[in-house]
Amino acid sequence: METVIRVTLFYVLILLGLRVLGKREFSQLSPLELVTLLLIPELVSQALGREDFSFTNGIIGIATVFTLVFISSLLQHHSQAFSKVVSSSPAVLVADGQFIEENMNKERVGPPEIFSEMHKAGLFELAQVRWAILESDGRIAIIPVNREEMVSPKKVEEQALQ
Amino acid sequence: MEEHGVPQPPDIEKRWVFRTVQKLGVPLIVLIPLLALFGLFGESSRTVSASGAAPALEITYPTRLRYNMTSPLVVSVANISSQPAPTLTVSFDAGYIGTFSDVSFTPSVSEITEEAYLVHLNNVPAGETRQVVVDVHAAQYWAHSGAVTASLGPEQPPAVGLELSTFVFP
Repeated sequence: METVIRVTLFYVLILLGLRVLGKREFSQLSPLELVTLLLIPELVSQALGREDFSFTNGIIGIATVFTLVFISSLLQHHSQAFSKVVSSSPAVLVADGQFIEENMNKERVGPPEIFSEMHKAGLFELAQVRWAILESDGRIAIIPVNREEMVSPKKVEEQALQ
Repeated sequence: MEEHGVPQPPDIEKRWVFRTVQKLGVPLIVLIPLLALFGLFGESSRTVSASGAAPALEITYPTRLRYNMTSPLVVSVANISSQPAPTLTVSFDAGYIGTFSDVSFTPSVSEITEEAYLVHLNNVPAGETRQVVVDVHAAQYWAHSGAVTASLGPEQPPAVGLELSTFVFP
């Protein structure tokens, strides 16, 4: 019983902590995925290492995490209020070629990071960006003003052959 | 998002739909912490007692343990006769005790045979109770059982006995 309570408390604490820190710390994982990946190795290592916990205790811990993740994902899908608590809303960093400085400061994203994502999308000027959106998982999505503006490796090769 | 003209996703009707593997697997997964919350996988102990013509026996022992857990096994022997007992002998099944590691007896074991660990309690006045505490450390999985008996001396047949059974979760 104690294992279930402890795992649940840590799950909630880590989830809230990641939520408070903000999107940039999530890298490419959602908060639920991240907290699962953080907790499971800890639970398994103690059971594997036979230090203080039995195999049974490790299984109970892992099953508890899986149960919490499943319930969380169900609630996230069916409850908008819960969804807002667990994952933050996307934030617009650039709109119509202009930095939205308030959001950039809130999310601690600087111009070099935005330009880096722009380059990956084949863009080189802010004017080419319709929207740059910081998604809930920490990735920055770049929507160009015109899809024709995006330069793909295939397009570069075609232009070189012409 | 709306204030910057970003189109919002349209809503869909949210329904409770589960794949077959989830219908089968999720209840099993959820069952584990639920059973744990109700203590099914936790440590538990039981007290049993028996009395014969002379010594009465009461034992509190672990019925469920997890691997690597330590628990006490407490045996209370009472001289219920009207005469003092020169020796009361408590015998622990060697097969049962042998399934545990780091076993310590208080008072110490007086004699070890192939079948049993014997603790002699000397000069027990009439009406008095003595205790033998055995700290056991779960070292082998699954069910283990054995008997604890009390007799009026090392050479005497058991006057009273109790069967113990302990389950060790891996």
